[in-house]
Amino acid sequence: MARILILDDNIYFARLIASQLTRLGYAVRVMEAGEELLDLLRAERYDLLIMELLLQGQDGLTLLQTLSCSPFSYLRVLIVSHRTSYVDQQRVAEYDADFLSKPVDLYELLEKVPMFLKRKSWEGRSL
Amino acid sequence: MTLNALRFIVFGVLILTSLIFLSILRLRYIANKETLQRRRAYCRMEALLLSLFDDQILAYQWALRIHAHELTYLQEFLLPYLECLKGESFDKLVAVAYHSGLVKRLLQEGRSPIAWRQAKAVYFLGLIREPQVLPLLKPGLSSGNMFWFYPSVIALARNDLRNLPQVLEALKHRSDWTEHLGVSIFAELGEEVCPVLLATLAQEETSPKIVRLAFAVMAHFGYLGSESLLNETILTSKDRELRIRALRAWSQLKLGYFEGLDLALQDPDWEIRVAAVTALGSSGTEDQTALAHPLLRDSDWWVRLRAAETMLKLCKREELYTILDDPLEDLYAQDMLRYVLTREGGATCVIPVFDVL
Repeated sequence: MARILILDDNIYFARLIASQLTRLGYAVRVMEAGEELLDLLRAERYDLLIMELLLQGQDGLTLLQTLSCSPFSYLRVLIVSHRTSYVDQQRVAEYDADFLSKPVDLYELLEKVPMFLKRKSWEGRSL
Repeated sequence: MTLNALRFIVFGVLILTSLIFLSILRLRYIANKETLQRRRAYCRMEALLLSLFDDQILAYQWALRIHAHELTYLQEFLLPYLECLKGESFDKLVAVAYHSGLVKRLLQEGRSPIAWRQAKAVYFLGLIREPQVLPLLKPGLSSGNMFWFYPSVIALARNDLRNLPQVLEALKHRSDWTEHLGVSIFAELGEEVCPVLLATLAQEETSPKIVRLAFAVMAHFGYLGSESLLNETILTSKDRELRIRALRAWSQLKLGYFEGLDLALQDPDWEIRVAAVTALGSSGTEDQTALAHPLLRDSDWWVRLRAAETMLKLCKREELYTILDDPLEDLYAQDMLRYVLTREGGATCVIPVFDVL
């Protein structure tokens, strides 16, 4: 069973995705803030991180950079964000993460999750 | 007489205190009741939302379970979902809003004399692209209050692409919007907004800020049809900001080399040279390396940095090492090239020049 972590300060949206993914058989956990992300990853192993770039009091891109330089770079990342500028998308692509812009179709997102889980991880990539 | 007066005052104070105490208790009771009602309504709506997305119930079946006094909660509850979702999931929630009578109520609130209530109603109706919202937008569009103005502009923009000239007209008279906000207003209209925007720019005389916004929107969508307009702006415009934005858009769109880039590379303004050499890096080929090379010796640090980055993208490494080894090459140019190579990770191949240090 794949384990998925959702990091989004829009708790309504995060909980909706979490409930739908749980129904599909994934083990899902929701986080509202990114400060304790690394601590959580040290304690538990996850296969996919679904995160927003616009987090309160924290820049998602900085968090992504921290993550890519950490021992948890094996984690596959899917960005689902309102921040949709070309520059942001390019930077997300640099970290080998996938990008979906909000507003997003829930059913489309649920269909794509298994595909994102199968994608090659960061492991072995020089950053 | 004095004692009676004293008794009367004490009695009055006691009554007043008890009245105040009772009022506080009453207010607390109302607030608690409101919180409790809201919590219950939210719990029920969350369960209904999950059932709706699991296809266990239809939108009208959810709507039937919503009481008239809960419509405010429904509006608050639906809003964050409507902002995040599109497609089939969005349509289901919009159907709930229609079947429950929320849309009908918001259309009435859109005529409310209270500005914040009207703004909230207009924002919600704009979000779901309700066509009947259009007649309600006029006061918001002429309002100086940004919390009323921008929901109205967003509602106008989302409603129909044909409203684009009015949106541009409204934005033209405001100065408190940023490019990012402008792009986000147009972003949800989809790529179709680009040709309409282009046609509007060709027909009407607009402010330079609007033109800059149009460039940013076209770059955002990667719209290649804007090539001739960008080309013309880079070549002929006298507005430096506009030329810089056009060069940035050119860079984002990866439109390739043209003679305008060559001219911009020799411009006396350093910011234009930076934008031009960056555009060359993102859209040029190896043949154009010779154009970036002179800028390695530029007097400005940023120009040298972007020129070095461009050469790193376009050239083979061997050519860069040749420049580093050339004793006749400018020392500042070599230094910048060395810095970029070090940052990129190729430092192990570069022998440090101790003379410079």
